[in-house]
Amino acid sequence: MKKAIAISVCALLGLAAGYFAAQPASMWYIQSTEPDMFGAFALDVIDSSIACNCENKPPSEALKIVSGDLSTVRGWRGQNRSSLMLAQEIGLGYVRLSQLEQKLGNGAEADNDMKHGQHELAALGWKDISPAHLTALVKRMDSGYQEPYQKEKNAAIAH
Amino acid sequence: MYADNLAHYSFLQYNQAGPDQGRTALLQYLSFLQRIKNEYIRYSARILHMDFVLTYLHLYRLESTVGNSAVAAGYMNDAQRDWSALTWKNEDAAIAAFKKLNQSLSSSEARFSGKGALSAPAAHRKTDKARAKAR
Repeated sequence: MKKAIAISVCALLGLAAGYFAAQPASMWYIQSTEPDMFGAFALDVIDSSIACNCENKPPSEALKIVSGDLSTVRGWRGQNRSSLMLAQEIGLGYVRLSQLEQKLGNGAEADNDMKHGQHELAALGWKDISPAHLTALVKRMDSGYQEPYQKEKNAAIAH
Repeated sequence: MYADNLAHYSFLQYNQAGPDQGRTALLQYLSFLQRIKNEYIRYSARILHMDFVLTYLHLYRLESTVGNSAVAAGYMNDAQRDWSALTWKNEDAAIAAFKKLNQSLSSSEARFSGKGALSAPAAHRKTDKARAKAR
């Protein structure tokens, strides 16, 4: 009888430990084996990307949102140095931050943010990292211009 | 959804970075799509075929640009195979639609990368993502 109770208690303790350990263990496994898979998951947590619906928000408020998201993604990148997806998101996040600083008249901060963005995107092999190109690209992405693959995909699926 | 984020990342690498970086990102996305297919992960079969078609077409264009014509031709065959898997009234309709898709993709990619004039926004990217999540 005592033996059966001891086994049951051990089994329950094992289940409880497994319940709490499973999530961190699986996250650790994904981070170490598939950094970009983790990056994709992490971005999903903050609604896919740093891009925010900031058109109707005052620049100072938008700056807080973008800055907060960027800080979160940078934190994740700290745990996933090899995630190129997070690096891309960080680069584009800095470009967005630079645009907002420019709107607020903070020229020095805008230049500094743009340099950080250029540095990240250059490391990813981006060919044109001029401020004009990056600013135009991010504006296109945030103003709702659909990425070509998405537009074609929707059209073909609807046929 | 992870797939949307990977698609977005790989497209930007293909569209903005050099051929090596673009190829790496596209192959990574392709491998993810293969996993969805092989491991029977719940995903619309039609959308999966379309994702394969678009990724193969991106790889086709990339390899054509760098002069790997044999590899490019292989990707074109792969794209056509997945395109045929979508239901079509007849073969002619499928071929005509594929040609149209390829042309349209090519010009809209050029516009997106900043090599052409941009048309008016069609819909917000977030709206697309929300739609994808609801699938």
